[in-house]
Amino acid sequence: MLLQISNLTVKVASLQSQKTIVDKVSFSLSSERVLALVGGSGSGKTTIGLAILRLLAPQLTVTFGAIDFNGENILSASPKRMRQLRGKEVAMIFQEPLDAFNPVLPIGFQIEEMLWYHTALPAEKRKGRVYELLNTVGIRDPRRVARDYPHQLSGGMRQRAMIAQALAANPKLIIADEPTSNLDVTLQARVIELIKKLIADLKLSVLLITHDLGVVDHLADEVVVLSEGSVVEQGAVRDIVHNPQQDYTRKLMEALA
Amino acid sequence: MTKNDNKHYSQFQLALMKFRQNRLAHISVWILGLLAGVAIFADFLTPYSYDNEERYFSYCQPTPIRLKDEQGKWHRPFVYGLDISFDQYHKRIYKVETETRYPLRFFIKGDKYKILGLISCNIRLFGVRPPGRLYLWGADSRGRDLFSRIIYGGRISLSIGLIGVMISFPIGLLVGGIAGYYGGKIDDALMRLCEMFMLVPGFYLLLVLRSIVPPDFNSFQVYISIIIILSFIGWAGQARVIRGMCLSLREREYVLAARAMGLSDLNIIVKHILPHTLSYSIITIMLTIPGYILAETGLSLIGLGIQDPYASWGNLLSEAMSIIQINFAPWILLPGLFILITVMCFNIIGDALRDCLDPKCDTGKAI
Repeated sequence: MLLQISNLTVKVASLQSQKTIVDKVSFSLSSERVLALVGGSGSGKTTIGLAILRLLAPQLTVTFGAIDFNGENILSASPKRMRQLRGKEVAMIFQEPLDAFNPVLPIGFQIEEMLWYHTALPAEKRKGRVYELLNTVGIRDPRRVARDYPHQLSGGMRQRAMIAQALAANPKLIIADEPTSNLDVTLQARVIELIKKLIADLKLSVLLITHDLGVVDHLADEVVVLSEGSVVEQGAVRDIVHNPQQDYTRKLMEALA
Repeated sequence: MTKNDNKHYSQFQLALMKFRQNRLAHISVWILGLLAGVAIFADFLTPYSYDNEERYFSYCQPTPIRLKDEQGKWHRPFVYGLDISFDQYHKRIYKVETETRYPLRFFIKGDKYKILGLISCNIRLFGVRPPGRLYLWGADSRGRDLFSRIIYGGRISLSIGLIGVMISFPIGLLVGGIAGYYGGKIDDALMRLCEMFMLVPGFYLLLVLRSIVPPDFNSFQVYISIIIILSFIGWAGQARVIRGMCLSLREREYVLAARAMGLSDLNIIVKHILPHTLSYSIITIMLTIPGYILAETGLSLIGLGIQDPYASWGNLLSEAMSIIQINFAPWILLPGLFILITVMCFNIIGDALRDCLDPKCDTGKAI
C-alpha cells in the first residue's frame, strides 16, 4: 500500500470551540492507481491533501488518526524528513497555477528549483531536463516557455508547466488539487487527456481532489465521496459514478448534469 | 508611449523611461557620477596630496588663476606669489606680490601616490612649481589646499554611505524576512531587539559605540569601524518594514507551493519572498545613504570620526566650528556645500525612483 490513511481527524483549534473539519476519514491508495476525493466545497478534501504533506495552516491540527506513506508514519516524521518527502516523494499540483507560481521568477527557474533541491543533477544538465519535462507535458517550444514569467503564459500552458514541475523529481505520489477547475471546458478536456496519458506512460499514483465527477469518471480508479468532513461512500469508480447509493452522491451527479 | 503602441516593454524598461523624464533626477545622477569619478581619481586630479602642508600659509586666501597681469599684459594661466605680514593682533595679512608669477603647469611632478595602491607615481594633472602655492579654494589652518582635501574627503564621505548600506541592508532584509515569515515568538523576539536599537537616540548610540573603538586604531581601522557602527544602528528600521511586507507575502499561495516543493525555510525567504520587496528596497537604499553620510559628518565634525590628516567632509567642516575662523576664512565652509549637494542628489534620485518603481504611488503623469 502506497498511502494509507486511517481515522484521520482534523480540528480547528480555537479557545471557544473545536470545529471538526475532517472526521475519521480512512482510505488507502495502492501504487499506480488513481484515487479521487470528491465533495462539495468545505467538505475537507483539500485539507486531507495538505495534511499528507503536513502543510496545514497553523490553526488546524490533526487530533487523531494516522497517515502512512510507503510504510512511514508521516505524522511523526521529522521536519527535515518532511522536506525530503515534499516534492521528491509526494508532489502537489495546485488549483490555480497563476497563484502557485511565483510571479517574479521565470517558469524554468521554478521547475529547475525542484531538480536543484531534490536531485543530484549537475547544473548544466538541469536546463536540458527542464526542457525535456516541458516537452513531456506537451509544450512545443520549451526554451521560450522556460524563460517566460507566469503571467506571460496562457492558463492551459501554466497548468501544463505546473504539472511539469510536479513531475520533476519523479515523485511516487502526486496530489492533484482541482487540476482542471479553473480552465475552460475545451482546455479541461485537453488537460484531462494529458494527465490520463501521463498516468499511463509514467505509471503515476495520483490522489485526485475534485468536485467534478466527470473528471473522476475519466481519470480515477477508485473514489471517496466526502461531505462535511466525513466519508459518505467509497468504492470503485464504476460502481459509484454509475450507481450511486447515497443521496449526497446523487446530488453531486445532478449538479454536474 | 501611446495606447496603439504594440511594442512590449518590461517593467524595468517602463521604469527607466519614466525615470529619464525626470530632469532633476537625471541631473542628480550626473552630479553624483561626477563627484564619485573625481573622488576616485583624486590622486591625479588634485594639485596636492591631502597631507601636504605649508604652515607658513595658514588660512591662506584663494589664489585666483589669472591670464592678465597688472600691466594689462596677457600670459599663459598663472598665479601670483603671496607676501605675509602680521598686524598688531598677530593676525596674518596676505598681500599679493605682483612681481612673481608662477605659471600653471599641466602633468606636473608633485606629491607621490600609488595607482591602485601598487604603482608609484607622481604626475598630477595641474599645479605650480614651488615655492609658489596653488590654493584654488583657499587653505586650512595648516596651509593645506582645501580643494585637494575636499576631493580626497569625497572618497571617504561618499564611500561610507554606499558600504554602510551594503552591510546594513542585507541584515535588515534577513532579520525582517525571518521575523515576518515565522511570526509568533521568533517575530516577537526579533522585533523587540529592533526596538532596542530604535529606542536609543541614534546619535547618542553612535557616540557610545564609538567610545568602544580602541584609541590606538589606525585611520583605516577607524574608517572600517565607523562603517560597522553606522550599519549596526541602521538595520533595525529596515527590518521592521520588511517584516511587515513579509507578514502579508507569506500568506500567498506560491509560498505554500514552495513549501510543498520541499524547499527549506531560508530558501523560501530568500528566493520566493524577499524578491517581492525589491522596489521598496531600491528606494529605501537611495533614501538611507544620505543618512549615513550625515551621520559620518556628525561624528567627524565633533572630532570622533575620521582623524586628521585624513580628510572627510565632516572633519574638514570641524575647522569651521568657531565664528572667528569663519569670519576670517569663510572658504572653510565649502565642504558643507558638497554635503548639501550630495544629500540632495540622493534624495531627488530616491524620490524619482519611488515615482517610477512603486505602482501604488503613480503620480498620474502619462508616460
